[in-house]
Amino acid sequence: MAQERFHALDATRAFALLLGIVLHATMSFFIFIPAQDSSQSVTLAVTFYVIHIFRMSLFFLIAGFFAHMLFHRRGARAFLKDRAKRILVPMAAGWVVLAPATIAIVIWGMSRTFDGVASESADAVPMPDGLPLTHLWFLYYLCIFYVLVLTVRAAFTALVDRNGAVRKRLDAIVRTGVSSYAAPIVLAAPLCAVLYLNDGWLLWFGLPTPDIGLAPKIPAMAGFGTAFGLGWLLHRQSELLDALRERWPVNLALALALTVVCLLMVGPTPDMSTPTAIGGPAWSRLVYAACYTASIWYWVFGLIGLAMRFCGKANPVMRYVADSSYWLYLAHMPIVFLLQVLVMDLPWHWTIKFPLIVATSLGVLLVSYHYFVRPTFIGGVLNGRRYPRRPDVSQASIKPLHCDSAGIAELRNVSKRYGTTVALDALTLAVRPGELLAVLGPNGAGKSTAIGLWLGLLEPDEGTALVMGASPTEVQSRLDVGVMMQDVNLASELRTRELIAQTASYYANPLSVDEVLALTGTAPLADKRYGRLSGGQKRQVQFATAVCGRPRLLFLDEPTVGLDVQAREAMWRTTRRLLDQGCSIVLTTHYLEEAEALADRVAVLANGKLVICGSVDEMRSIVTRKRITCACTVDIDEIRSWPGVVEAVRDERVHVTAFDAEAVVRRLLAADRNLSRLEVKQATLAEAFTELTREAA
Amino acid sequence: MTAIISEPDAFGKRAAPMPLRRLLRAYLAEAGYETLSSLRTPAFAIPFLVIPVAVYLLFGVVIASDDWGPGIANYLFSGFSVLAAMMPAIFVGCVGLALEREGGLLKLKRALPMPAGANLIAKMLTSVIVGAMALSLVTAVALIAGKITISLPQVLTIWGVMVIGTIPFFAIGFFIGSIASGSAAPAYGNLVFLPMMWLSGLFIPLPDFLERWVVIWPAFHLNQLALGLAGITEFSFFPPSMAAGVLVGVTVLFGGLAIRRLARAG
Repeated sequence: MAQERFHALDATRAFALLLGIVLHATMSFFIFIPAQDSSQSVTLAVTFYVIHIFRMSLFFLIAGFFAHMLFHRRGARAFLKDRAKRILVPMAAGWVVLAPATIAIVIWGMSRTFDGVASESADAVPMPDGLPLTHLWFLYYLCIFYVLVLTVRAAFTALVDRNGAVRKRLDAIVRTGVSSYAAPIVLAAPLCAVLYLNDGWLLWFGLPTPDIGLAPKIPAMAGFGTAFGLGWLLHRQSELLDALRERWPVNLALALALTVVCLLMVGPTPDMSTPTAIGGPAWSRLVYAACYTASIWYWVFGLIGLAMRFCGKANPVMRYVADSSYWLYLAHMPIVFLLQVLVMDLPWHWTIKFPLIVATSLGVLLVSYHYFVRPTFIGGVLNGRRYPRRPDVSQASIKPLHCDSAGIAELRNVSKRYGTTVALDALTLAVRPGELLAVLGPNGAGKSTAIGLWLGLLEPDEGTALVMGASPTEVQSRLDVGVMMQDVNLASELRTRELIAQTASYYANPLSVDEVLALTGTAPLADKRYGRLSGGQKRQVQFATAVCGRPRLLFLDEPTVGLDVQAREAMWRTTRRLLDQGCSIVLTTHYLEEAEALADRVAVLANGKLVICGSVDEMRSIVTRKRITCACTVDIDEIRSWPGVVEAVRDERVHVTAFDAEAVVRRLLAADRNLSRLEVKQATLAEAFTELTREAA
Repeated sequence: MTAIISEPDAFGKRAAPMPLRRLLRAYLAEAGYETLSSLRTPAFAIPFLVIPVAVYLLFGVVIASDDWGPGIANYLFSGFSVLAAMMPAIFVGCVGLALEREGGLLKLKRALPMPAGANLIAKMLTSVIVGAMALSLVTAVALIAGKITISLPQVLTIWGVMVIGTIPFFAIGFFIGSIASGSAAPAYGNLVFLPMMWLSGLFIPLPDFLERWVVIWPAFHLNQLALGLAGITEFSFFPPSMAAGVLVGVTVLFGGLAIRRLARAG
């Protein structure tokens, strides 16, 4: 079963719930609940009308679908336990907390609306004739449907359909029905009959919202029950959703056409004087009921098909919205109503007030969700799990280091991805106290990502990044860290000494500006503005700012790019002085001779993995190639054809790079007895690097 | 020889927390150097300090006539004060942050132990300081020219409200700077600033259909707040408490969005 289908349904369910917030925010702009706004709007009345047609039927169909899925995955007992936790508990809590607040605001809003109005007008306001369920009625009806469907299913399988034949026939009927454009008409029939026969039916408001009284309402049971039941059956053969995906344009076009017909019949705003009557001949009422109920199902099928077409794939934003939508819908009512009452008398146009109400409500609700629901027990109840506020690095798997003992800065089994690109793959690497670790690798090897993790600029997807034994995202962990980055423009209008003083202010016990100037040889630049320095001078100033805080750990990213020879040697001297005093340094560079000159250890990365880590000598010795230089008369092409020879060139002497140097030397001596000036050297770090990264690739 | 690293025998241990005095000093240093850097940038300092006082001098002093109605000079003073307050506020956050992001400076500062929020606070204080300077120039010209008829306490009230009122505009600019590139940020800043300046009804009467929409502009609310608190009732159309609420909302909304956008994230 394609999992992606459920992403689409998740998105659709969230859409239905969020539309509820929009729907309730429209109410004060065309009716008096919770208050009558001074700026009335036909547009918002039509918006309400259209949303109200399909929203809850859509929701109940998806609820039925997921209910069947949960039941068959986890069994009856776990199903009931889960529903009790995620439906019954929020309903009970909501009735205690949200419903009283909502009702109080409605009373306040209506009293403000009817303040000073003739008493007969105020008396026309209908009073509830039962327990107000508020917008939480849908949880109550879900509970009813769960009980009903489990009861009917148990009776059906035990008494009527022991061998499953009837269910197969039922599946065939559903399959045929859903694959047909006529299905909405058939599905609409029960509700159409119920509404048509109900003399008290408020035509403009369509399927009556059963938010008053505990006794189940027949229209709701017929309309939403049909949707829930179909959802339940649909999950038995979820491939039928593909038929909806293909037909969404036609279904939505029919839904729209029928909605227009309905609006033409009852008008764009509710007529509260004769809410149960409709103009025209006697059969108009039947036509309206048929059009209205059929449009429900065309909307439902069309919107699910649309979601299948465009929201079928996993998407973290959609996932977040889907997770949050339950809380947003549960908690929105008092906030939306309160805002409606607060702005009702402001002399603003509804085009300002309405978006303001929706945006403010959503903002407040999303913040509350993110900080007070998602990571707390409430999120555990509503979403089925608690999301950690931050990835829990303390619990990340820590594997033994294969390369390093504990260090001053560590990456433990760290992985980092950018979309589908794996930048680091289970990398473990540590910087030991007082050493210079050169991190080398070709472009895209993962060096910058590794450094970004150490600096706290990135967070690992898996594994742990530590500096001084703690997360580098904490400022305190970085109090002993100095940084020199490669591509940075410091404030161009500040002078060198000001830049050093500014950076030094971040540290508890920094060097004085004059000490830094003396240490880094930047005294001649002290009073020059940074923007007027040459490229090499800028690097020197950046180095000065990196060391000004007396760092115990220093990150140097391509520090000597653009420096002349004297400046480079001066920087190397300072670097060695820092090392002598016990500073640990992480150096990334493309100048391999720099790494060779300074590094205690070298770590080579390629494709996000550690290829090798060791001292410069160890690196060279691992590489089996050697360089042979001699003066001889052997033909250069002949040498190239010998086994083990990688490369051979001739200038004054012959230079051969070979894997099996001893064998090549023997052949050279055999071929030319007068061979002279023979030298055999191990590979340079550059050659070792090239070979190692080529092998890794 | 000077020890150039801290406690060489304390590897693996974290440094002691910053003493409070050093922490405050870090915030002050950041704010000070941010302001210094801004004021030393001619493309920033000249327009934001000179333009408001120049246009006020022209339209509020030289051209303005008593025939335009009683108290109109007071209204123009308040309107041009809004201009002086919001102009640097928007562009300090907007252009300054965008350039720092583009130039990698923000990334570097975040890798260094810069105290939390120091960059934000520094930029906000810079916008307040530069705004106060621009406002002082406008106020000085207004007092010297003698066109305004309000008392000195009323003038000072307007000045004070405007100085604090730079903050919501800084939040808007900061949000733009958090999403725009360095080269695009001035354009985006102007896209917000120019319509807001003209459509808030600060200096010129607006046609009815535009007047209805003045409430969407924070500049209108700052003007109303200042006029309301200074007791200039003939031009107060909106309760000061509501105007203050809107400005606080704008600050929280855009500041929050910018902080969210700039939050450390993998």
